[in-house]
Parts: sequence; C-alpha cells; structure tokens
Amino acid sequence: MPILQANNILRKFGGLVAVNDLSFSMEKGEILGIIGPNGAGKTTVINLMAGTLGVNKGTIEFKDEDITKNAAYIRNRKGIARTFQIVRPLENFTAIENIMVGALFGKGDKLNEARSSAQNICNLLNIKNVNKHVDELTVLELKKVELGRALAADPEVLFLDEIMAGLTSDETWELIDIVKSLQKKDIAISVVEHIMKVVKELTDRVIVLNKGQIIAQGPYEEVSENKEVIAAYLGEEE
Amino acid sequence: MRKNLIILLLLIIALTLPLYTGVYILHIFSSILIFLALSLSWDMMLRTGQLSFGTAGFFGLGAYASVLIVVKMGFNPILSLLIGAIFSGLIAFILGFIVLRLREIYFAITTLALTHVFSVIIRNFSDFTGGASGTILANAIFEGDPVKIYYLILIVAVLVIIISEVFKRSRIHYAINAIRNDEITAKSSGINVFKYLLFVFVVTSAIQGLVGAVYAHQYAFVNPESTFSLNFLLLPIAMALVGGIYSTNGPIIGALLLGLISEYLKLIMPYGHLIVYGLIIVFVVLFLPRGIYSTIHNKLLKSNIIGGDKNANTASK
Repeated sequence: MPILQANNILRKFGGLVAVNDLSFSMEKGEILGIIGPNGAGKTTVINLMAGTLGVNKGTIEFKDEDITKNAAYIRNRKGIARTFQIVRPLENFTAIENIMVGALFGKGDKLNEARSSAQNICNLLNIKNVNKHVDELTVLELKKVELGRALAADPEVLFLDEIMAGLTSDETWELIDIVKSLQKKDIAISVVEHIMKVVKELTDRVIVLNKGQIIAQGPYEEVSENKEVIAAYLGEEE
Repeated sequence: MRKNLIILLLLIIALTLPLYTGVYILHIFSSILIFLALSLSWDMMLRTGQLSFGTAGFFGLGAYASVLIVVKMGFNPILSLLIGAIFSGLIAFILGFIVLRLREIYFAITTLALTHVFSVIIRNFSDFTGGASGTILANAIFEGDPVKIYYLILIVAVLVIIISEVFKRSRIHYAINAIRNDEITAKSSGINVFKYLLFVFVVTSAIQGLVGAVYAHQYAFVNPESTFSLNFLLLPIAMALVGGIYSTNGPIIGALLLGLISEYLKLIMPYGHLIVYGLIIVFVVLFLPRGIYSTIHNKLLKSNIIGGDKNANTASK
C-alpha cells in the first residue's frame, strides 16, 4: 500500500501548465527518483506534495487520508518533510537551532527535548559545528542542516530537491551514504536530481517528467535507455 | 552572574526611587517607563518580521475603553486598566484576521491607517466618547498621587519586560524568528505562521492598550488628538532603533537614554531639544545600525569579555 499518493494532480501558473494530470505514489523504504529536463515540473511536484503550493485539480492522499486541503505546516506535522533546491537556512539561528525548529514544530518536541533530538540528528549527519551561525557554514554543512531540519520533524515521507547540487565528488558520496541510511529507517524518500550518477546509485525506481507529465517510469537502467527520455533530454534526432 | 547583579541593582534603584527623589524626577521616570513598555511591545511584534505602525492606535483604544468604562459605567479604575488591555487585544484579534494577511510595507501602512480610523470613529461617536473635545475623568487614578502612579507604571513596565523575556526563552522565540527569516521554511517546518502572528499581534496590542489605559488615568483625560498622537508610535520606534531591535535590553536602553536626554535638552534649550533628538536618531541609524545594545554586546562577545549568551547574540544577528 503506498504511503503517499498523487491522483491526477494539476497545477497551472497563468497559462502555463506546470504539472498536468500527474499520478504517482511512494512506498515505505523506497527511494523514488524524479528526473526530467529543466522546467519539467519536478520542483513544482514537490511543492504540491509538501503543500507549499496548492493543486488546481486532483487529490493527494497520505496514509489513506485526503490531505489535498491541508496547509504545508499540517502536512509537515503529519509526516511529510522536504528540503529546498536553493537551501533556505534560518539565518539568525545556529546550525543546531535550525534543526531544533524542525523538532519543535514538525515533531512537537518540548524545548529541552528539541535540543537533544537536534543533537542526535547532528551526530547522525556528522555535523560538527553545531553552534556556528549558518553564515559561517560550508555548502555541505548547509545542505546537511537543511536535511537535518527536515529529518527533525521525524518524517515518514521525505522530499530532497537537488540536495547534491554544488557538492564535490567526496561530499556527494558522503550524502549518498546518509540518504541510504535513512532508507533503512523505512522513510519513503523522493529525490529530484540532475546528477545521473546519484540517481543511478540511490534510486529503486525513477519517474521521468517532461512538460508536467510522466513520460517514462521504472528502474533507472531501463528508463535511461528509453528513446522518449533521451529525446526529452537531448532533443529529437533530425 | 554579573548580569543578574545588574538586574537586581536596577530593580532596587527603580523600587527605591520615590524615597530620594521629588515629584519632578518621578514624573520623568513614569513617562520613560510608559515609553519603554510601548517600545518593547513594538519590538516584540517586529521580531515576527512585521513592522507595525499601529502602536498609537491600540494605545488610544485602551485609553478610551478604560476611561469610558469608568465614566459611563462607574467601573473601578484599576479594573478598568485591564478592560483597556482586553479591549485592545480583542480588536487586534478581530482585525488580525484581515491585516495579518498583509506583509511588509502593506502591513505597516494598514496599521497606520487603522490608527487614524480608530481616532475618526471615536471623534464621530461624540455622544458616547465626547467627540473631538474628549472625556475627562473626575479624578486621576490614586487621586493623582505621583508615588503610587509611579509604582503602578513600574509594575506595568516590569510585566512587559517579563513577557518579552518569556517570548525570548520559549518556543515562541523559535517560531517568530523562523517566520521573520523565511516564512516558507517556517511553514515547511510545521509552524502555523498565522497562529503565531495573531498571538503576538494580540499580546502586543493588549500591552499597548494597557499602557494607554494607565497613561489616560494618570492624566485623567482622553481626547482624539493627544490620545492617538503619533508620539506614541514614533518615540517607541526611535527608542528601539537607538537601543537595538530584536532584544529586551535594546528598547530598555533606548528608552532610558532618549528619555533622559530629551528631558535634559528641554531644560537647556526649550523646543530646540527636538532637533538634537532627531540628530541622535540619525547618528545611531547611520553609524550603529544594530543599535547601541547589539553593537556593544557583539564587541564584548568578540573580545570574550562576557560569556556566550547565545540568545542575545542570535537576536542581534
């Protein structure tokens, strides 16, 4: 039984249909890759599922409950967390305080519980400079703080929007290992990625978006051979 | 430890002030404490990222509510102060559903407009409110006893300081700081943005209502012109900016400093004091944009003279 399911969701921005009649589902302990060329609607799908944006049509179900009308903060409390493509740290907080926010409001921790939850997450993600302000952190540390804040809500579904972008090869491998360890905790994870190495390494299943619709799905090896997918990425052959 | 000592010392000075000063000094400090409370309440709303220009409006509503309930219904004056607070809080609660949908300059302008709307409504309900000429109480509170009035205002100011510190040390601090920083991140992290904004708006408006009520009972008189005066907006803002925003200590320092300087300047150059007053504000905004408290605090932190008070450091960022 899928934990999160989108049924024929549609979202327009003015005249542009960003996500068009899209249906897909996520399973516990599964890593789903969402790929597609620029402007395919990948980030919009995350925004719709996390409630950052509302759908124009269609429904979203989480554990058999219709959450289409739920605001983002309610979905987060229910167990859907996300990171942002361009990291959005809370700049007047330290690393650990950023993560505490997720524990305080996403999970509903008390203040003293939140600090220890956040410390546990820092240990898990190997964040060392917990008391540094976010403007003193490296790109990798910022990405980890972003991931940490999402994890602090104790989610059952996690959306990672291009979390590997801008990292060196070593840093990418470190994060891949972390995401794989999360999979073992039975979290349903969805990654939007442009780096195919990461998609190949991480995902159990991939959906390929183009112009807001799914044009192919299946294991990465299968999808990467698909003619329509190659055409969407590279353009049609003459 | 040293911090607690300073607080204790200030509290002792504040409590014993009537023993060794005259009516004039007491009056100055009463007025400084009034503005201190307003300044802190304005800053508490600013911590959510919302710049409110409604301070004078809720101050005036509280003043009118408490005076009218005494004059028209014979309420106990002390109890009427609470009515002033509750009334302002209630109006803020109702209006909050509309104005808190707005952000940035739109929120600021709308709250400023509300101040004007309140005063126009009161001016036009002249049968009940006394219209443009206002309403006079038969007696000032405590028969105008300056010592008792000073202690009343001191209690109110300490109460507001305590509320501000509770805000800083509880989950409210994390919620409103997150909202100020990035509303989308806040929403995605489980924060009910509207609920927190409404809560802070109602609490700060109730404080402004309470302060307005106390002020009105001190002078035994309300009228639209003076009760909704923009002084109750601009001076508190100036004090918070000079002292340092997003903190409890900043507005306290700002209120004491500007309050004392303006009194002194009034003595040496009547009316000219406003020019110097303005220059001080311009100087601080240009050269100490974080305010006096934050600037000094950060300098001390960097040179490790004082320990890591993380909250205060966070606040000044």
